[in-house]
Amino acid sequence: MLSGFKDLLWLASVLKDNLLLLVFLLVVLGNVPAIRGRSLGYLLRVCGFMLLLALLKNLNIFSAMLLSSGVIISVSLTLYTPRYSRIKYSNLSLVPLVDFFALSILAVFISSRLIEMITFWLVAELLGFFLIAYDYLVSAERTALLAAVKYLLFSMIPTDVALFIILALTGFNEAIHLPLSEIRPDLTSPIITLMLLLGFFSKAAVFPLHFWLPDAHSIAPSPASALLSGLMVKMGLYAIYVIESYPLDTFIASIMMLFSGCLTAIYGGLQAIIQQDIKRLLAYSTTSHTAAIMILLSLYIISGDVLFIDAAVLYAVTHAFFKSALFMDSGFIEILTRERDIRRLGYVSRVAATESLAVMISVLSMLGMPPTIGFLAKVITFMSISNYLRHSWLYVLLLLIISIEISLSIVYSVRYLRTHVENTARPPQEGLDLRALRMTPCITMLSATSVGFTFIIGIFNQVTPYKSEIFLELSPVLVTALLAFAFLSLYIHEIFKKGSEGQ
Amino acid sequence: MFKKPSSLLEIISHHTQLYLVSMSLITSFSAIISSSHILSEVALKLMLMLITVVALRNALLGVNHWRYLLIILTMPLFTIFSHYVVSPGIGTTDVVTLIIMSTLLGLYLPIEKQSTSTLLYGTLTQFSACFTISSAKTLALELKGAYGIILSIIISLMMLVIGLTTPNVLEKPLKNVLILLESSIPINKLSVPRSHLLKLDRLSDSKRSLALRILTRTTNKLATQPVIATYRACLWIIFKSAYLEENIIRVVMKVSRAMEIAERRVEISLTYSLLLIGLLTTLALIVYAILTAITR
Repeated sequence: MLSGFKDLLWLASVLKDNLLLLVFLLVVLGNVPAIRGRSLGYLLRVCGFMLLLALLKNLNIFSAMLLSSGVIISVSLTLYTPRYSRIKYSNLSLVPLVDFFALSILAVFISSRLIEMITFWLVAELLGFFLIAYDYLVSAERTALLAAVKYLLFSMIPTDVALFIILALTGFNEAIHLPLSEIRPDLTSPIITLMLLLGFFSKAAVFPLHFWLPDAHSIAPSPASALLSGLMVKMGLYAIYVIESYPLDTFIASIMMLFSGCLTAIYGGLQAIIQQDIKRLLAYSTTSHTAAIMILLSLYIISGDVLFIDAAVLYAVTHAFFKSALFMDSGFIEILTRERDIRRLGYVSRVAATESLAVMISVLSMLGMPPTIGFLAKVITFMSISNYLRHSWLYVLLLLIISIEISLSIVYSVRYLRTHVENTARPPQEGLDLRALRMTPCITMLSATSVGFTFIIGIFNQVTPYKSEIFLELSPVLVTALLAFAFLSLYIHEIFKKGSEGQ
Repeated sequence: MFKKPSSLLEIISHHTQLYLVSMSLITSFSAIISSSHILSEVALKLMLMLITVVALRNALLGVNHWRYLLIILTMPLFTIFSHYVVSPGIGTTDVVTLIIMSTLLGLYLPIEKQSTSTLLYGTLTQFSACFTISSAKTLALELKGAYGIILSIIISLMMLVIGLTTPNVLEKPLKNVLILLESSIPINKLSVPRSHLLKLDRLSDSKRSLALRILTRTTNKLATQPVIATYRACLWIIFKSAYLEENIIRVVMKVSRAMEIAERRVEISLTYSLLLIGLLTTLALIVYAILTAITR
């Protein structure tokens, strides 16, 4: 009896030291076919993801913020995917793929050593490949295979080359034994800097290696698109953040990042405006937003001001939240209406009032309305650039580009909102698949979190001292905005509900 | 309180507008009271959102269709202006910038005068934007508390007056020219090109009625050639302004499509290049392995 207890204590101490292993075990157990679609399966998977939050305290700001937002997105998705998979594919085979994909991406953000990061990165990429090709695997959809091959060629290979260059320059021994922050690979050669950045640009879907993204994100199943767009492109940005702390050719790096960032921010936004497919619209908007984050990261290289990192992190988290929620919504619309063309939609709010409200909150977060996390991100982005306006014309130009990007995002987000609230469109004659309504709580939860996260950041003080000060000054405005926003949301929900009752 | 909105999108935009108006007013007041530059910047950000949302709403709902193109330029334009305004000190450039901004606000935030409520609502929106700018300027001048609020309100009211009058001032000369033409030119003797008549149908209601009034009410008295030329020039300006937006959108669409095609071609060539490189590398490795095995 005593030895059994000792064994248990030993097991507990081992698990405490290997929390990721415990998380992995819980997710594996939650995905056992017998319980995958039952409450126990859901509980195990949710607990598994939530446990990752215990690793927050040892992480840098970029990893910590991406991990915390990633956990919330993964929890929403682990609840959403079984419903989606059961309706769309009549089985639950998509669930383990999505769960392990999410887990491997989160593992990249919490990796303390280079070798861990590369290993989890490769696993995530491989799972991403299978998820993009999923429709080919289950129904021989050729376009899915083509999109996956494109992803393999233009996203996986260049990134892997970049990762192996870092590994080669670091040395295998250091990569295994030293923490990421202590290794010092010499990346000062312009060619090396160029190759590394091109590799990570391909993952972040920034010009010139961006064209894999619209196809991959629009063809993959919606939970996978939510992860690809919400979290996976952030891996590219995270890698750039990591290499920024190593010696590299800062001139080449900043020029490349600024040029590609500015070009993609405008190009992605313009493309998003003219898309008629909701998923392609979201996919192009991802390239535009990612480019804006890259501009902020490049300004950190130029100025060394950590406020740019804070702005980039907040922007990345905001994007992760609203883009995952909107991709989940696109899956909902696809199942409900069997339609993805904006011109033939517009009646969703008359069928699913709560869903439309959730989407409206996500769209408002994309627009940067208080009190969503998007507001905080946009304010800090503007502030960080405004502080330097008198230093150089470059900052004025970049402020203009960021504001054009935001203007474009306002135009296409309203276009997206029209899929829900355009009055003239009529539902199809063959009827709607109302089973889709089962997915609504997951999307609503994620959208509501984007509001709550603004306050969580303040409460847990996961920010630099300067930004804490900003948050303190903003708190009365944010609280007022929260009250007004709650009132506005309830009022609009009532209007939607009246519309759906009339329907 | 407000005009009954006709669509859900209009309801949402109306309420979002109201929400932004109240938030920017609250934030500006808080900024002056607490002398916080951070809050002042936040208020400016809210004002930028407000102007963009209103411009977009007007474009979507057809109130100011011709301004659709300017939506994309709204935020950059006002961002730059507002950052120049909030610079410390005051000079001639600040006064000029404030006048330009007031005029732009008058153009971007048009006041619908159908009813008292819409008039009040529009005026409140414009006042909120003016107050945000003026409070930021007052704060930049280190004026705090009651003095700051009073000065901000005075500047805002002046901006509001400029904003309300300047677009009207610009509108009136054009109307006068058209009325003058209407009374003096016998339009039925004018040879209006058929293409222009067809284009008339596609104009917005107000412009069409104005143009049709010119066409129908005129007599047989034909004016001199310069008057005809002036009339045609006016017509030309109306048609061109109406089609400018359409043409630019068409160009943007064409450029986007062309870029998409170019993107596909680059993608295909890159795919084949990568496959070729992969194949050649594999072959080279095999040859190298065979040669090494033979020579060993």
